[in-house]
Amino acid sequence: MINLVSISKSYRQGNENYKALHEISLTIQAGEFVAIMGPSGSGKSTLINIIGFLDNNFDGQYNFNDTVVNNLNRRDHARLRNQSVGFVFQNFKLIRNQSVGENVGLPLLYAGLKRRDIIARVNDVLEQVGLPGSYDKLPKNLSGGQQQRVAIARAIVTKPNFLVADEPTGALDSATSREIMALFKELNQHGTTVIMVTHDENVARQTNRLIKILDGRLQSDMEVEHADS
Amino acid sequence: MQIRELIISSFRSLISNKRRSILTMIGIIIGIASVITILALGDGARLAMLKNLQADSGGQQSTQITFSPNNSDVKISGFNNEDLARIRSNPKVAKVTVQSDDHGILSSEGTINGKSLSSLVYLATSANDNKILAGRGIKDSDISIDRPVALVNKSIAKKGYRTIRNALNSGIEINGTTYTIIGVIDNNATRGEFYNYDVVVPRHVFETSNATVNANTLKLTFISGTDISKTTNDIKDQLNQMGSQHSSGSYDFYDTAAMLKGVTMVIKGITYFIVAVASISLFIAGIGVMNMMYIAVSERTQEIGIRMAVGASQKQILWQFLIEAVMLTLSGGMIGYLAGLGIAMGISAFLPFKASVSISTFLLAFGTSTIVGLVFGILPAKTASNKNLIDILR
Repeated sequence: MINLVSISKSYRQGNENYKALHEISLTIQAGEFVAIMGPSGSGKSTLINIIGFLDNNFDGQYNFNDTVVNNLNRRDHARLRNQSVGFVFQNFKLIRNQSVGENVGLPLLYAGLKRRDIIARVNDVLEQVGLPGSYDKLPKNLSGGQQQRVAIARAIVTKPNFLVADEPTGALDSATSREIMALFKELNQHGTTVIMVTHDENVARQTNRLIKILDGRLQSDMEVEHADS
Repeated sequence: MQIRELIISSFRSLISNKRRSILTMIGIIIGIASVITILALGDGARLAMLKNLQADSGGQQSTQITFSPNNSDVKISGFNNEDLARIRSNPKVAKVTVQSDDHGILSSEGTINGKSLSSLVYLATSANDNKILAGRGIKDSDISIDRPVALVNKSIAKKGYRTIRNALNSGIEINGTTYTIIGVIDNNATRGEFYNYDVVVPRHVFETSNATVNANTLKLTFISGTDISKTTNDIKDQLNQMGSQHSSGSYDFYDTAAMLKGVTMVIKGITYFIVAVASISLFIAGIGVMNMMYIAVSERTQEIGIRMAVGASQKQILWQFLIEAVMLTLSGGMIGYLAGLGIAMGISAFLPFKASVSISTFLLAFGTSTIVGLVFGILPAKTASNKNLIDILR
């Protein structure tokens, strides 16, 4: 599904070019549950922004199914972002003055759906992430874990090909983290591809594939041994 | 995303910042309101003037041609039946009436119950009760003893005293002499074929107090849509060439329409000048809108980032902020329009004319406020849509 061929990315810092990613090649199949680990500054967020179609400014080739992503213009890139990926952020990134339902329905709005269809779909998804009947609540009245559930609901509302999560448990306590991870696992078991960035060993160990990254280079790529399997 | 959704979401973000939105709108409201006030009053003044000077109550336009003899001591009638028939054959002329001393009819100024009037007076030398509606006619005895009595037509009676009955035995002043109204005659009383008259008084009474009176005036009424000054000029030239008295005097036409055009131009000029001044206020208001939109864009950078991250295209972000700016100015414009109309109506209550409400001023307010929104909203909206997603989300 996802095929990266020698992806490089550099930032300009003053007069110097700072290379964040060094020729990364990576293939991820549909249905995988992948964790990307690395210390801060290793380039893992840069990598996941490219994978999640947030960043189209890089060198190398990115094939998504039959699409060559790096050849797309900004409009098609936005459409791909709307329909093929769900993004979950560390700090939830919900629009504060809109209700939970409106936040979740936002991608469908940009996909051009009718309001009535959107409401029905949003209520389904909210139930799926364990927040039934919270359409009209405001995000600020929810706990961190609940807010992250809303963000996950927003990510899966368009039935995307895969989910990308950037430190989804970074702002949560350990108990809530476990609940969120359980939700991701459940989604994955129902067939959703999940790619997440974390620096938490415990979180990473619950996935099926662990990719380690250091100074912009792939360090290791291995199956995760589960104690129970 | 559908336009409706864009509008709803823009409306909500304006509502969530009520105070700021209203303060920004005030500039637009003042600008539009003052433009509308000036336009409505200026238009009203122009229309009132057109109506007063040019057309009668039926909306018909009329002009006058006067004949002045070269020798002012001689009394000659400038228009004979042949002249009148010729003028009448002009397809643009709806009605021809003549006021000629020779036929005992002339126009006079007068007052009735404090109201001034200009009327055609028929100077009777014998008993007259033609077309009488109420009261009695002038008798031979009235004429022989020079009794100051008058017959007036219905509209003059009503103008002075509201009802015909009140008018009877009341007074009317014509050229400095006061007459008692003894009878009321029909509005379309005529003598001969062309000579309308409004008032009948005994000739001798009239002449003892009026040595000179102006006579020889031709009143032309045109069908609507006629270029009246040109047509009247043509008729005047024709009269000067082949009129019955062209050798013993001259026919003149005082072009009130040309004067009217001049006055109208002045009013229009003043209106445009004030509108130009008022549009400075709109310009400043527009800058206020721009300022507010820039603040909104930078305040809502996170929201823009989130919207982009879930798939909003640049165009959709651009439209969202543009529609927000247009909604702000448009609602300001509509409030301003209503306020302007209200002010104009209020002012015109103290003026002799009414403010005019026209669809064009509404369209002007609508268009101007939309354009202000678009012009001053486009740059902030562009800033919003050109934001780099990665920079926002970092």
